[in-house]
Amino acid sequence: MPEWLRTLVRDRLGRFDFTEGRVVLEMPNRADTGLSVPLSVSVPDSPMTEADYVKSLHVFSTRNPQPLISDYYFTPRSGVARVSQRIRLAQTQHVYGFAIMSDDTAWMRARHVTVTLGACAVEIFLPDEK
Amino acid sequence: MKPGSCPWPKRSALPILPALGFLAAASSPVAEEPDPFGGEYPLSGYHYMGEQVRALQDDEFLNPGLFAVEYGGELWSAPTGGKGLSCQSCHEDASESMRRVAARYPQFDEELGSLVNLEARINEMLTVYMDAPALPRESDELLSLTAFVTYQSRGIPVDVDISGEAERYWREGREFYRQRRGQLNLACNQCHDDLAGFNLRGDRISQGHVNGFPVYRLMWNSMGSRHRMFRWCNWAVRAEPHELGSREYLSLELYLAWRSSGLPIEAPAVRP
Amino acid sequence: MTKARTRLSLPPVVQKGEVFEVKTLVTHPMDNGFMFSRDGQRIPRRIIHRFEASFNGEPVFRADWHEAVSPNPFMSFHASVQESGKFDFRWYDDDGTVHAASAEIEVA
Repeated sequence: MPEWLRTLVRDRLGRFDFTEGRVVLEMPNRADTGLSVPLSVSVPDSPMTEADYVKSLHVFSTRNPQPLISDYYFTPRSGVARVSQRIRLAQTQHVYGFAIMSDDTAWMRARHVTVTLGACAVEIFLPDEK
Repeated sequence: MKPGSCPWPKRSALPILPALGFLAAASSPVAEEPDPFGGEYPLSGYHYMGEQVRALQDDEFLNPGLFAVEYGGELWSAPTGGKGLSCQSCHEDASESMRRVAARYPQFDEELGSLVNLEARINEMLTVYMDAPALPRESDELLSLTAFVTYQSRGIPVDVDISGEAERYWREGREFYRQRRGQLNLACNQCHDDLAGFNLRGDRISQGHVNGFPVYRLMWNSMGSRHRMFRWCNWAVRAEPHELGSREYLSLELYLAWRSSGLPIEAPAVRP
Repeated sequence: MTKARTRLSLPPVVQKGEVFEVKTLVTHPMDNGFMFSRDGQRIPRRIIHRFEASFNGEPVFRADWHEAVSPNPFMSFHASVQESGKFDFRWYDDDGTVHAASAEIEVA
């Protein structure tokens, strides 16, 4: 993990004692387009009870112009800690997922995603369009 | 994407033949037009997309184009103009009255003496019959109404009439399609006929069909008409684009619609 | 389309304590502040930066979104409820607008 990301995570989440595991990051190995990449994050083995649940999940990008992707905050009413979104990835990179549990343990996982760029995929503005 | 993963039922010759059967006469333009796909049936642009973008189109919940259809439906039934009419006042239930309509456009209009596409027809209705101002091209309103009307033909094969007066436009469109242009000196057919299925960097080249329009394009982050795509394509080969609704683009639209004959209408399609 | 449109998908009837998926979508350009307009001006950042879901007034789920979230943001999460009631969803726009939607759910 790049040092800057370590620093950023420590600044934002107030800690850096993450153990590899428990977090599952589901993303395609190769994205068809960086404009809309399916992302699912979960901690499937959490019972999500009042006594033991996932407090939050945090997803970071390593090669976007801005490294934050999303932060998710759960309650015991969430049932399971599993969320899905569509995100933008500017280029091929690693995506990191971090989980903070109600028992104060912390987990992480990284995943590599290849982003293909099209030949014509440059936005060209024409004067009379929206 | 394997050939077997084509989302639409394999088209047998049957649905296409009735559509083009009347063109079999030796004098028709079709007879002299070699099949650009070497005997393969046309494949929608959908076929050339990855599954992540396909999912955006297929999932009724995710497809952003359906918001345009929804908005178009509201405009359809909203009275507008000096006569206080809505589209619905005359056309009533769009799912009945507009079924198959989009599949036939663009078409030659005898009274106007020119080729009209769906957008132009909607504006003609607004200005001539409803005493309302024409909607600007590529406005949310016009795109949404077009999307709503086209949506009523979902699954209907494209089937345009290129006989009679329309043939002249069809010929012009074909010429435009084969004309090298721009700093890259490329003609449409060099990629979309000859290299469909090949990669252009990370893109897969499609056959360039128009059965998904109006489309929601991720790159634009909005809906776009066929003509907007033509302008974009022209610009991408560094050529001077023509005006939206110009004769050049109307002719090209007719040629491309003819080329898409038999492909089911997919609108609102999602394209990268 | 000037007004944000929302789409919700959740089961109308569930069993007590059953875990179900809630899908939400709102139309929004999610301008990330890195794009330029036709006249060369930087398009200022304007995104939905927070999404909240509550049930009968009690928070269920919250998400903070950043520039990487795709336009027309889609959010799927899960929930379980003990009694019938109303889900409220709120999307907080950078421009100060709060887009809202709600759905009733019944415990069989």
